[in-house]
Amino acid sequence: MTDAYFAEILLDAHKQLHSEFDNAPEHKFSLRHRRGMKKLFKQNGTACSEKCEHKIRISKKLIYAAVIIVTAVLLGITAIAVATGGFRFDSKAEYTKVLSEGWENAPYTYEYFYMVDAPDGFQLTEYNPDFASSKYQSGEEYFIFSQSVKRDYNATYNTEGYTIEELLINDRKAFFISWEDTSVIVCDNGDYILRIIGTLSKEQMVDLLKTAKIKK
Amino acid sequence: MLSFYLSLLETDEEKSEFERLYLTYRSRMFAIAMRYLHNTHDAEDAVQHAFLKIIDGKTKIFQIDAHKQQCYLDIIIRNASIDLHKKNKRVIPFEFTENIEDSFSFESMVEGKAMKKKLTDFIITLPDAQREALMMTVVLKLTYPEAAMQLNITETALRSRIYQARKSIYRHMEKERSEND
Repeated sequence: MTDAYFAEILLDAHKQLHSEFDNAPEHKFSLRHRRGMKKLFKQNGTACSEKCEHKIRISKKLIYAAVIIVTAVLLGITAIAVATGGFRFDSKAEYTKVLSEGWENAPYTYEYFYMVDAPDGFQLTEYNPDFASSKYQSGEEYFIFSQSVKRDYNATYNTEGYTIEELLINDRKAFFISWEDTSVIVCDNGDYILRIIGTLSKEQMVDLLKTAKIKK
Repeated sequence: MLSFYLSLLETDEEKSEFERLYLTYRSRMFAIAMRYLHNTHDAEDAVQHAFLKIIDGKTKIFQIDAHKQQCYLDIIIRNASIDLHKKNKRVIPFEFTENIEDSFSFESMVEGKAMKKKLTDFIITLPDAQREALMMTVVLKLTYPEAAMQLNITETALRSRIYQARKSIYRHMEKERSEND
């Protein structure tokens, strides 16, 4: 019996054993998985050896350490509060407390409500008038859109190992944080704080916030 | 470490081919992983680990005939799932330690449809690890070091699995032949 013939038999055996997977149902992969795979596909640049990458990691660590030491010496404090117009970030080792700034001229109550245009396929599944929050769902994907009075806005986010990215949405201050399975985007639209939390990508969340309009 | 693996994909063509493989086979791979892990979170991780393993194979996948790529991915995902299962359960992987050479041949065996069917049926009953060791080397034509690396075992363990598989097949065929005589 030749190797080719034996290979043919082995291949037949393998196909028979795995025939049940030939029409495997399409699985909707989680956001965490898709992000991981997206990173794989997007990877660019020249080949870099492990040694080279190790050097880069060490350099980055040294830069971070230098920045921390200089900051601590200059400010003499452990927590760094940074005022950024729409929001005040009070960063601690494990979390960041976020407060609204410039709320004096904004409404102190819910005088009107905002809504967003949910993407195709998303259905409104929950609504809580107390927090002006709406939950939309499409399979395992979901997002919650909510509105807060600026004066009362006081949120704490896990930023241990995660970064706050500041953005401008329609010329309004906003920030974005991405965790493993979910992300949040918060925007100061001048009158209220609008927030979206869920499994959507950053681009989807930004686009969604741009559709925010007053509910009639 | 991830970027190191990714840098191993040298050309844009390989990268897009890799993406095509992922999009074509991800649900099948997920279904196979679910058989071993029974948990969507772990099964998705296994799919990702499998692709990292494929990249680590230094683009060997692109040298395999297109119609055999699915078999290769089936084997890689099964092993990635088992590795993940062992890791989660903190079980030390079993390995063969004997250094046994691959010495059986089937040249003297009878060829023919009936025998082919019997042999196929028997190969299906072999332990997965032994059958996959044969698949990697005989069908996919990976070298022993390449196959061992992809299966996450030592070369000695791989040789031992191949030896055990060939021995079982040889004995089975001998038995069949004597019964026919």
